[in-house]
Amino acid sequence: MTKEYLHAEFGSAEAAAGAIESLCGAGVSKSAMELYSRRPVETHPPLLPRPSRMSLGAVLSAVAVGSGATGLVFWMQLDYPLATGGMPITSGWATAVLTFETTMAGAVLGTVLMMLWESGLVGPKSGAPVPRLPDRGVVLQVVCGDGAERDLVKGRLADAGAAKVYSAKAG
Amino acid sequence: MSAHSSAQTPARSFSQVRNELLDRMEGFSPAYVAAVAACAAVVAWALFAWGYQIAFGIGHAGIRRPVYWGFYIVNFVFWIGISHAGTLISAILRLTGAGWRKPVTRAAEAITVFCLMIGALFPLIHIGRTAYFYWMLPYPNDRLLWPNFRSPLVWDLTAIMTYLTGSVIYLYLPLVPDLAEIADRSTGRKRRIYRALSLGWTGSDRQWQALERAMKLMAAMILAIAVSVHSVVAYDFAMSVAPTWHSTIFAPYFVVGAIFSGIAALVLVMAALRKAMRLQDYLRESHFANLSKLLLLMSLVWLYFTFSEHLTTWYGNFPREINVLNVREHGFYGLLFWTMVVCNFVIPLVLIGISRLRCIPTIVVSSVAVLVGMWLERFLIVVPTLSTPPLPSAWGTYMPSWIELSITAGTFAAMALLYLLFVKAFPIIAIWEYDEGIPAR
Repeated sequence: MTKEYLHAEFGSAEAAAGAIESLCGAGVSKSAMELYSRRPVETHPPLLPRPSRMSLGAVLSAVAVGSGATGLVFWMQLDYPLATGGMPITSGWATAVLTFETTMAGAVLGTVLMMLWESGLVGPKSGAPVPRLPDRGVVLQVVCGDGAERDLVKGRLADAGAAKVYSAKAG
Repeated sequence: MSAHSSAQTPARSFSQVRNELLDRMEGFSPAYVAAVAACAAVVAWALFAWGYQIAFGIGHAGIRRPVYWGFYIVNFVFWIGISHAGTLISAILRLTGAGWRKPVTRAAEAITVFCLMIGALFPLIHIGRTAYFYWMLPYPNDRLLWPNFRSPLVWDLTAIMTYLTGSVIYLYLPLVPDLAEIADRSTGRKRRIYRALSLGWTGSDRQWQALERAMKLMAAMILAIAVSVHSVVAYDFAMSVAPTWHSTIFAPYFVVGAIFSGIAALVLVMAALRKAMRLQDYLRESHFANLSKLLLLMSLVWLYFTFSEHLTTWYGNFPREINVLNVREHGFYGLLFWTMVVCNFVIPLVLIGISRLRCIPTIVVSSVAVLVGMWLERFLIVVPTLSTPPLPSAWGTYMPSWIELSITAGTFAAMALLYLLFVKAFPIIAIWEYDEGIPAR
């Protein structure tokens, strides 16, 4: 079965929400849908919720960079002990500043990398065609098969109030 | 001050807002070209002065025994302080969901990045032999010596690099959708450049969700980083057992001062943008009113910290500390001290605290006063302590040389120049965050 991309333009996020609900009722998976807009679609909960591991990525990156840097600092201080005038060669208090800063640097980098990955800006591309975005409203993209399934989706989209429905080929 | 009423006029559409903001980026008026040329000339002179100092030695600067930290360290603390304008204020407003932040945040975030770039230059300038800056980096030199990680200067390097990295990312991420908008409107090489900068942004819901999630996380992180950075700058002073520096409240005192001067800088930049780029409908009186209230609040907090710091020193009556206090308040630097108090407290209290007087021009005047006052505060922290060492016979004064004055002027010009170039390359207001309430003309 050939994959086909249907694009439906809606005047508002609420209308698109109706279409998504209708398509789900018809058995179309939310993973086959994508919304496109010039501004973020701000609904609670999101119309197409996506699990995210961004926080986890940030924490793991923070721990990795922070502990790595802290270990490096301790090792450096022991590798060539400086004259400290009676102060300890390694100091938890002084190292804590560097630990904090490098941990935060790790968290920032982890967040950015996860953001780029989860948004699809880096990594494998889906090859889905990108619709031309209207200034107002949203475009709902649905991946479907050809023939009867396409007709069903088209019908549901039109019933939900789509201003325009058109098909597009994979880019 | 009356807020701009948007209820009685129809709202602008997204395309109107986008076109207006992107149109502001087009063309170069004679005034703009003249401003760029003037700033570039001052920056070039400052670079010459720096080059002169490198070629002929740090002795040509005014710093000498007993004052080894002069304008360079004052400017370092001042610029790093102002850098708190952006990211910190933007992050606080983002996390608290303050809707009025939207036209303000990018201008603020740009301030942070530029101020950090400028501020981070001063340690390089101050060390004299700039070429040896890399000795602070954590690697073993040819005698297998590592940097001293107990030194606050190494902490500074780490903190500023983290803050700069975080701030650049915090500025760049929300720029990405706008870069895609610019690419859509452009042709040829310009389109290719903006398309590359926008990383292939398509406006999919997956991308929006990832961006918003990342911005929330980044806002929380950047708050912690910003506070830590100015705390570390304060540790440069507080870790030395020098009179009036060895204080437990120095870190929060510096953070308060940083936010205070940051807000003032933001007001000033917003006023300039509003006038020069005709952004009256976007940067409204209500934005200035809100920021002025924050400014007044920080003025009171600053006064509280300053009073606590001085009261404790005075009451302790340690000879070394009292000497510094006397020199600062009544001696050689007395005029500067009381000017600082007037600029940081009296002027904002009168011009912003009295509601009848509160308007954009008086808020701008207050902000200029606060910036002057905060620069003086940094000067009065650095110089009097160093100029009054334990032996009175070793006391001295400090006068900056033409090199320090040139470099200081150059950094202000550099800030203006960077901003002038930025507003022509990127929309100064986040288009995608545009406020539905912006009234149509």
